[in-house]
Amino acid sequence: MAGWSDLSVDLKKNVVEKLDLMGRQSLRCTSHADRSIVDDTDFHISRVRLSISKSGYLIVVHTRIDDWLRVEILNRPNGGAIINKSQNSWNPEDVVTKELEEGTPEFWTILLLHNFFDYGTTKIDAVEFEIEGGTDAPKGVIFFFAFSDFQTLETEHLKSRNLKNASKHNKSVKAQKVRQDTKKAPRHEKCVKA
Amino acid sequence: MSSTEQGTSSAAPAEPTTAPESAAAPEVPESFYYVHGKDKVVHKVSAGALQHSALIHGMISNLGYTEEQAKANPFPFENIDGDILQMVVDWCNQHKGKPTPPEDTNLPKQKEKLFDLVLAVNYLEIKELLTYCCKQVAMMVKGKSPEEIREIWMIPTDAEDEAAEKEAKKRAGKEAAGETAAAAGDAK
Repeated sequence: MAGWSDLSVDLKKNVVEKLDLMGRQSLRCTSHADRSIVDDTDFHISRVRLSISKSGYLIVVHTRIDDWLRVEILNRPNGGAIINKSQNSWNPEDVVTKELEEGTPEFWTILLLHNFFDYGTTKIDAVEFEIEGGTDAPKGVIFFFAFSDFQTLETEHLKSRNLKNASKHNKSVKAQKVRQDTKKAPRHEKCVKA
Repeated sequence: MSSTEQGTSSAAPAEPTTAPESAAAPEVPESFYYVHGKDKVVHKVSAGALQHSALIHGMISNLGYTEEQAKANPFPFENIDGDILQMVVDWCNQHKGKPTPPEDTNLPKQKEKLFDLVLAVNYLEIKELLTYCCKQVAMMVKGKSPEEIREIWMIPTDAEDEAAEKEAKKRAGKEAAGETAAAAGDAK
């Protein structure tokens, strides 16, 4: 009787390619060997949206049209953070909520972003930022997008009325729209540079 | 299982008892080949169905077998269980000359058989079936926690892995010591 351990690395990678984002995250936590297999397997994400508001952060990851993950990291009244997670469902009953007594929403957001995307094998077509008026983009988030390993084609600011404010923080980080030459084969490149 | 025949064979391959049942007889008669797994049960498969397997297709084109030769020398796949080979043969027959559908619901759901099937299909180089099987394996752990995945896929923990590695090293060391002792004894 064969099991997961009997599969070759190539076969395991073939399976990992078919896992969704949370499946990959769960498999990463099972053992060191599987973690490195997951990290070495290409993962394509259509769109990542990061919304920053006074109440907290929202990360929406679209891997396919019908496959998305929504993680909301909110301020907890007595410190800490409240994390709401939903996957492929708008039904409020399907939302998984977790209260964390330690850490700030910014800390958990960066940790999640790091766990989700900080690999050279992750290719994101578009990263969108939505920054609520009067809110500054935290340095930690800007640094994450500046120095993490994922590759992206395009970075956009959406509805950010205080784009100037964000850009002040963001002097070293230039959000550029990288338009791919249609004649050339699409190539994922990091467009957020220090 | 219309075009697959089974028969037991020990040293000599089993003789197929009936001719292939093809309702609409093609102008050029279809050639058939024979494969057997660990259980030595011989399966008769048409060349069209075997097109799915890059390994067998390559073997056929390289060996240039006639039908008589193919009957006398079934392809042996000793590393594949009989029931798993049967599944593969059935799948090849079902999808003979047809475009492969995006989903295949006929694949086994039991994890033991599924992993064996993945290994067999990978060995036989059946790309489409491998894609289905890997998808099925991935579906097994959809929405599961790391602990559940470890249980479903029987993934050893890092501590268990280390212990197994240590034990293997110990065993290898003992074997090496035994060999050197035997060699020294021979020299004397």
